[in-house]
Amino acid sequence: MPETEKKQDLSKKVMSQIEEGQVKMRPHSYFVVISIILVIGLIGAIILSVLFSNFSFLWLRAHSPFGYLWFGGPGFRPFLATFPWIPVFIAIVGLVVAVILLRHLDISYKRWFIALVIGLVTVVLLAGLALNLTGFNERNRQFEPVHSFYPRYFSGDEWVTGKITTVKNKELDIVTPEGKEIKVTWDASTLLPSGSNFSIGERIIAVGEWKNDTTFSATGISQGDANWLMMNHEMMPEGNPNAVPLRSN
Amino acid sequence: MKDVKGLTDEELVQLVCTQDQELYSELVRRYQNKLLRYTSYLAQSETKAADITQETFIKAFINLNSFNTDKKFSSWIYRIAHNEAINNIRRYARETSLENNEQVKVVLSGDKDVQEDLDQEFLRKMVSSCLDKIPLVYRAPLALFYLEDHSYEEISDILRIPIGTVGTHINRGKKVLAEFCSKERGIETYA
Repeated sequence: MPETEKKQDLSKKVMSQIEEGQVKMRPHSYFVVISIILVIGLIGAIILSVLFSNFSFLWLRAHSPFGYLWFGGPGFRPFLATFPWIPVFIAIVGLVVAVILLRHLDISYKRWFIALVIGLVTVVLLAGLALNLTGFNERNRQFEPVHSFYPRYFSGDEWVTGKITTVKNKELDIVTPEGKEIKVTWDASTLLPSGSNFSIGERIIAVGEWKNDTTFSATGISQGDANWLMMNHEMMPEGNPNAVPLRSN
Repeated sequence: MKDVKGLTDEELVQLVCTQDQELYSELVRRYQNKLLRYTSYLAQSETKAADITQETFIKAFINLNSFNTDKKFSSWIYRIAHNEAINNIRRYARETSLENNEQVKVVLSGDKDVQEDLDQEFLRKMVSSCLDKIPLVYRAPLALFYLEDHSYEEISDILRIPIGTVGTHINRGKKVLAEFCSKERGIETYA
């Protein structure tokens, strides 16, 4: 077929499909709705990501999971149990969705896309940190849907955390964020990465084993870092069954 | 049909959307040769190019209401054609990830540079004759710049990459083209 004839055919084919109604133009409202969904989705994904990075920071401050790693092997399970896996995962999913939606916006290819992504991640992390430090979680602890994302693993089969109320010889009385009083005993073989000068009011994390419901024999005790948020009973979500310690014995 | 020859593409789109869908044939007439040529560069097949171009016009018609008439229709329809061509190429698995082509990596890692003042007509011929030898990532911007006479900004809008990246791809593309073209012809490299 000659080139010109092929071109004419192309034009005819397209127009015949349009004229026969096989191909229909989408209405303007369709694209308006798509744009609105895109913008709402983007804003929603960013808000979700900010909210859950805030919960992640709250968990890190309340549990100090990295503090358990100072104890080596025995600290690994407490670390796994107290690290905010779910909030971090949801925050990352929110960011990924936001980046995917951002790619559909006209502005995204005009700029260096990696810079946009880095900017977005920075904004989300800073906003999450700001929420965390300005008492957002304390103000919203009554809001039931978010209860399951509040820190709650303050003691387990092999660890306990709390504030010192009494210091005795090789023995500490602590009160957990749930308000339980625990006696923590230690000996010469106990790992003390932050020293043995304990004082009342200090916050500690301990690994070891339970002797009974109220006595914990520590193989390692460490003080919480300066930014450690000591949750107290008032800060726990009221009536939240998840606030009960996970310890099984 | 009204006399639409004097109307801009964007004015024509406005009329197609609001008054007379038959005027779309004028847009098809204006762009069919250009898009056939461009998609031929990408797909390396006139038959496939015809299918891609036809599909481009149909998709453009369906989504015509999404086109912002403050922008260039040319960039918009080239963008659709480009996407259609890429999808077609991927569908038939004729192209692999050409960024990873080892030969291209060797060429780009060399310190040889293509003269900036190479004769434009000479470059145009070189692009035209050796375009099919080079990776798609460079083929598209080179074809748009040297053969379709689009500006960097238009190419940025068509390929959806930053203007700086357009320049980088064109410069790298020239380097790859010079190397591949000289090997093809058995002559010394242009660089």
